[in-house]
Amino acid sequence: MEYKSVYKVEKGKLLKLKFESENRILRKIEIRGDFFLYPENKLKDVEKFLIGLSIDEIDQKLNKFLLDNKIIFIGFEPLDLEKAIKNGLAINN
Amino acid sequence: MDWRLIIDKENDAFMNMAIDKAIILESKIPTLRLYQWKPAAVSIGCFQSLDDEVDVDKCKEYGIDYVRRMTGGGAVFHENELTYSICIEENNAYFSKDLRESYRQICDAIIIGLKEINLNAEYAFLNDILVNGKKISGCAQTRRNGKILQHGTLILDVNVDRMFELLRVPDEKIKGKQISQVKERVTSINKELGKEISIKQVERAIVLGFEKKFNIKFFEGKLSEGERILARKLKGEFEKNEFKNFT
Repeated sequence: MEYKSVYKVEKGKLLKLKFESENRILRKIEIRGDFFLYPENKLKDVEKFLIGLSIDEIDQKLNKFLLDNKIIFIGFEPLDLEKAIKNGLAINN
Repeated sequence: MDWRLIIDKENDAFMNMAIDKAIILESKIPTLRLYQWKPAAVSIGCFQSLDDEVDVDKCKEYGIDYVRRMTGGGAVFHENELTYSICIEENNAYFSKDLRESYRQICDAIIIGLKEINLNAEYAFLNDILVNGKKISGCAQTRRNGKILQHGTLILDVNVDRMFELLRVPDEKIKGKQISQVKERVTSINKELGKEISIKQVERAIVLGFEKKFNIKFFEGKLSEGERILARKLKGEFEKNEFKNFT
């Protein structure tokens, strides 16, 4: 099932997500919004990395992925992404 | 080393974005470019979805261009404004390597420039400058090809009603506020001064702001032949629908 989530990060930017999830495992995700991510061409790598992860482990695993790959988010943190996904699931279920 | 200053003419949105990209790919010296948009345009951040952010039909109705920037951040309506772009090697003696700090340093130069025209402005993390608590300037930065490029707006006059016709503001940003309250969060140089000021005066002020902040001098220059050729080539990229739509 496809879900949508629009999530305003406190003192941060706006995340607009489209994702598919089965048994709390992400099957597909598009992350859009007015945030900053460096280098910009790594957004697709982030989206690809998230596929197959449980939505409960996004914060922990994505933090390590960002560090290992020298990717910087400004305007949201991995925990915000996890919250935005959970919000989307809660609203749509 | 003196820095190059390019006082550019008005360009359409695609050429403006193409020139900024050509500068980051080709320039050999620190460069400040000051420019305007004709026709007026909406630019969206590189991670935004066009349909989510922009009423494309309204843009077409008013003859307003829409373009995706190579930088992140939000959607911006460019009309009656001066835009700056500053580009420099990442390894330089002026800007911090730290992304957040370098945003602040460049915004400081703009704030010093605004002081030259008697406006007291303040920095608001990460990418805004406020006067009397209202946004007068926003900016966005990219780093690629071993260089930093930050571009930003300085609003001379703002047609807030038109802006909100063109941009789709999500409920999450309004959060219970009246749309009028959201509109009141934007201001302009003319409004704050209570009089009209010329683009030339703002240009001079911004140049002075950078000179004072970084203790540098500018020489007035133009795009190199290589930058011009590359910009003409890149313009097509920014015009493509696939690029605009982020498919």
